[in-house]
This record gives sequence, structure tokens and C-alpha cells, in this order.
Amino acid sequence: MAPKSNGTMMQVQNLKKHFPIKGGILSRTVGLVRAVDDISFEIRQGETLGLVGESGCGKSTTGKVLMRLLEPTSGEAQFSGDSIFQLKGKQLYDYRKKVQMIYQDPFSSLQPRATVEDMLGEILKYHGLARTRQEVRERVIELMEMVGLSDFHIGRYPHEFSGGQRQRIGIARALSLDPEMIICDEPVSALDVSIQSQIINLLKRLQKKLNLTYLFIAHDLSVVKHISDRIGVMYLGKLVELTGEEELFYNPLHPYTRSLLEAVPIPDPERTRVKAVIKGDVPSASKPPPGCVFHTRCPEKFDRCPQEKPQFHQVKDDHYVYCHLYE
Amino acid sequence: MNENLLEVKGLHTHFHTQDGIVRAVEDVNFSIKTGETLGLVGESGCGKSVTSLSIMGLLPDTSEVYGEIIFEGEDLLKKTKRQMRRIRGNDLSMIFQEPMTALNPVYTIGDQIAETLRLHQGMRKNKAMKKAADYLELVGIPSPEQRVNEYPHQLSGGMQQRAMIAMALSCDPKLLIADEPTTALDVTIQAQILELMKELKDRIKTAIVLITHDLAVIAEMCERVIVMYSGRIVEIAGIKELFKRPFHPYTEGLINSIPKMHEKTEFLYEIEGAVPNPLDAPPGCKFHNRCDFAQEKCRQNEPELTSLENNHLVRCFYPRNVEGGVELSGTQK
Repeated sequence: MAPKSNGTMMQVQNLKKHFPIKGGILSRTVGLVRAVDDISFEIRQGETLGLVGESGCGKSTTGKVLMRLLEPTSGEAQFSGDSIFQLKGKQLYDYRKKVQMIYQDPFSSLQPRATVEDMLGEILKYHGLARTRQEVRERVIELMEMVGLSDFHIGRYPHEFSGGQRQRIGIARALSLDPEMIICDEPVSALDVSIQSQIINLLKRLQKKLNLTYLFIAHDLSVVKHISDRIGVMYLGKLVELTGEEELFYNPLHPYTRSLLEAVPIPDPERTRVKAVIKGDVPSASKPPPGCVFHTRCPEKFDRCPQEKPQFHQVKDDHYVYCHLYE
Repeated sequence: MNENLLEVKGLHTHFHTQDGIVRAVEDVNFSIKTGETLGLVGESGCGKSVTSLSIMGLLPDTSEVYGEIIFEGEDLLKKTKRQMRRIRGNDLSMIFQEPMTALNPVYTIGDQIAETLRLHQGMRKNKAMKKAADYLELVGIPSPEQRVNEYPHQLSGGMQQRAMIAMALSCDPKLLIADEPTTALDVTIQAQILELMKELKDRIKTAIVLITHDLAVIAEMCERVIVMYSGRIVEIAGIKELFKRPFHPYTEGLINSIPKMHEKTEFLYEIEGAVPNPLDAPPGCKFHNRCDFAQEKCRQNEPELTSLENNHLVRCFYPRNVEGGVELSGTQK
């Protein structure tokens, strides 16, 4: 269990999110998809916590649960002392002002029939941050400049923008309520290489300027490594390793983290890759293997692994791992 | 082995749309030798996929393709649809990005591989099904005798892509075009598929054109690279040469803008702006409005693809990383 340290912004404990599988004519629950299965971590004030893993590992579900877009099955999460899952009415409304989200596909997350000014204006008015048309316009222009767009963009519709510009609008929308924390769910995966670097740099600059905290969810390890202060690696609903970005890269402990690092292609033709690729596919989250979830693919498994579940525990200062090798 | 297997000469592919003519590919020239792996890299809309579909003859009738595509001494553009069908899947084959959409969901994997063998090699069904299982084994699918009777949805994404590769290789093609073969896959599965492609290439001696937006994949797989931008080839070079001394400012920018795990930098290099709209491309060099080094000449004239050093070609008036600097020529446009 992750202990609480100074400047904790969000504390997540034993979070679980299981989706029922309905079957038969009576739609009874015939199984469970353990999308997120008992994970604990903290997000510190002003940091970027990266959450990385392959498809189906539960990283996006974690983001959605923390945003209260999905209700958790069990577990606890606190945001500056308040329990997130207990929030109702006015408190939830205030929470959503403080924590915002950026999505992967900027086009489907923007309202196609509203101009940028209308869309941002509606949010500002609803939350009482701008009252008159003049105030709305000033604030929208300010937001547009913050994300690198100009005042002449405010009367345009989402389809008139390129992919990178749409993501900038998505960021402007997230910023419109002056949040303290932003959950970024694969914000650059749908973008071209040259646009990706623009958006990553923008997110970094905004973080410095506005003192933001990020939960950065992505599958691309090089992007996550570049932007994060600490990184959590997820596999089949479990958080298997959590530590600082440098430590994870130079001293990875979990066999899955090591395989993941080896599998990432390196943009340097002079380097030859160590040929130690893990075999097989990720098992289904509805039938996770007994014991350690990674044992079916693990190059270092031993007798205990298929029988006993490892504990997520601290191995050294600020380095947590879910593996029997370090117990 | 200096014979060129495929030569593309002056390829232009245009699409007629309601808004005007989209010039998706403009004056593309390149060649590939037997057994070579050639990378084709660029961002969305640069024309890399259209180039490959032009070679395969898979474009819709609204397109116009000019130029010459010489495959084993014969111009593919002069072939009838019927003749093309005989070449496609046989000597020339292709792997697509999304295996789930490229495979037919109502036929078993075995049926689909066997169909290729029956059509092109006149094999009997029984024999073709056996051969299909052999190919599934070759691409590393466990218990292939059982998998031949399964449907695409019963396989995972990585397995589907392996089945696609098995199908593409079933007639021992001389040229394989792989269009973003690993983009839809997870990184550990991507590593497996790339490893498989390397192994098979050595064993079967197939030439591969690997199309991707990912420079890291190119760096791992290819011997030579073509960089495309806005329908044009902007640089051709050997893989090591390209990463060490990129001549085109776009190539240089692209290499610098990817986050590298072995280096720590606070901010990444940014190529400002976005790829131009093909209906409204800028005059002169297509990259000039995003280029940090553009001069007056770049705004008016379009540079030509020029060989600057041995096998290193660039389309730029003021190439980068050249000792002493040079100025290259172009055409008035």
C-alpha cells in the first residue's frame, strides 16, 4: 500500500472496477471483467504521474473512475482530503471544476455544431466564471492564446481545424475552469509525429505556468518517459511497478516492465536490440490467471507465481513492485 | 543481385473530387532491389499509402495514375484488371494495418489462405489446407491444424496479423508491401511481428516495402528509407546515413521531434504548423511555410530531387548537415 507523503493531491487505495458480463435470456451476470483490480497509488502536487500499459490493462478505466465517469466497484480515492466517490451535488460539481480530462480523439470529444466560442462559453457560464458576452469573449481569447491558437479561431467549428488544433481546443476546454489537475487519456496517440511534439511541449509549458498536476495515461513508453516524473506500469488490471521515471528506466524490477522496455523500438539504426521478446498474448481480463497475473508470459516465473498472488509492496525508497522475486 | 525488382518512374496519382483535383502523389521515382527492405515514412496525407496502392493497382476508378511502374521488366500500369489479379497475391502481395478489417469474417483463416493457393497455384483444396497450416506454423501460430478451422474473430490482434502475413507469403511473393503492419498492435506484440518479419525476410528473400509513420520501426527494419511530404519524395538515403546526417530540414525535424528514451531533454523539437491541405498546397517548396531555414527562393521555386552524395538524394535548395553548405537547383513553379 502506498503511504501518504507531503503534498499528496490524490490518494487512491485498493481501487477496483469490475464490469459484469451478462449472458442468457435473463441477462444474469455470468462473469466479471476485472478491468482494474486492486490498485493503490498517489498523485503528488505538481507532478506528472504516467500510467502506461498495453490495451486492456485498465489504464483508461482508472482515469474514468477517478473522473467519476464510472462508478468504482470498491476502493477509496481522496482528492485533497475529500473522498471522491462520496461526492454529490454541489461537491461533485466543484470537484469537476478542479479535475478535468483530455481525451484521445479530439474530434469526437468536441461538439460538432458549436463554435469554439459557444462551446467554451457554455462551460464558463454554467460554472459562473463569465457572465456577459464580453467577459466570455475575453476569457475565450485568453484560453485560445494559452494553447497557441489565435482570436480569429473562436468563431470556427471543430471540423475546420486540423487534428493538432482540435487537441489544442480540447486542452483549452480542460483549462477553462482553472483546474488543479488534468487527467490526460492518450492525448497524443491519434496525432502525427510532428504534431505530437507540439502538444507534448504545450502540456509541459502549461504545467509550469499554471502549476498543474497531470495523470498522463498512454501506451507509448517513450512519450510517457519524456513527460512523467513518476511512472506506474499496469498489466491486466494490476499496477505492477511504480517508481520515478529515471529509476524505472535504468533499474526496472518487474519482468513485465523489463520486457516492455526491450520491446520499444529505438529510433537509432546503430543500436541492435537485445532479442528477448516476451512470447504470447495478454490473457483475457475476464479469466485472469491465478496467482500472479503475469506468470503465463513471465521469463522468470517459479513455483510460487501460479499459486500465490504477490503483494504490491515497497522494495526501496519510492519504488513499488508487484512481484514475488522481491519479497 | 543488382537487378531492380521494382522501378517506379514519374508516378503521379490524382483524385478527382468535388472540391478539385487532389494531387496525392507527384513525380515519385524510386526502385527496390531483390531482397531489400525499403522504408517509406511520412505523416498522414503524405502519399505513402497511395503510392503503395498505385503499385498494387487497388485504387478506385476516380483516381488517375500516370507514370511507369516496372515490376520484373513489365509495366504494371499497362496491365488489364484481369492480368493484375493474377499478379496480386502471387508475385506481389500486401499486408494491411487493420487485420480485422482485411480478413473476411465469414470464412475460416484456412479457407482464406487456401483460396490464394488454389487461385494462383491451382492446388486442390485438401492440399491447400495442409499448406495453409504449414504457413500458420511458419509465422509462429501455435497448434496450426486447429487454427486453420477458426474464424478471424477467434484470434487475437497479433495472431490475426500473423495470419495476414501467412496469407501474404503463401505464394512466395517477390515483393511484399507492408502498410503500417504494426501500428494497430501493442508494443510487445509489435516487437514479435517485427522479429517475425526479419526472420522470414532472411529465409524467403522477399523484398519488402515497409510503410509507416514510425521512424523507430524504420530504424529497426530497413536498409534504405524514403521520406515523403505532401505527395513528394523529399529524401532518399541509407538508414544510418539518414539518422546521422539528414539533409532535408523536414527529416531532421522529424527525427528531433520524437521523444528518445536514452536522452533527457526538457522540450522536444517542434515543427510548427501542420501538413498542407492537398487542395491548397503552398507554391514553391511544399515545406517552406514550416521550415526554419526557408528563404525567398524556397517560396517561389520548387526544388528537384537531387543526388547529393552516393545514393543520398534530397529535395531542398539548402540541404542541412553538408560541410561548407551547397545550393541546389530547382524549377520555376
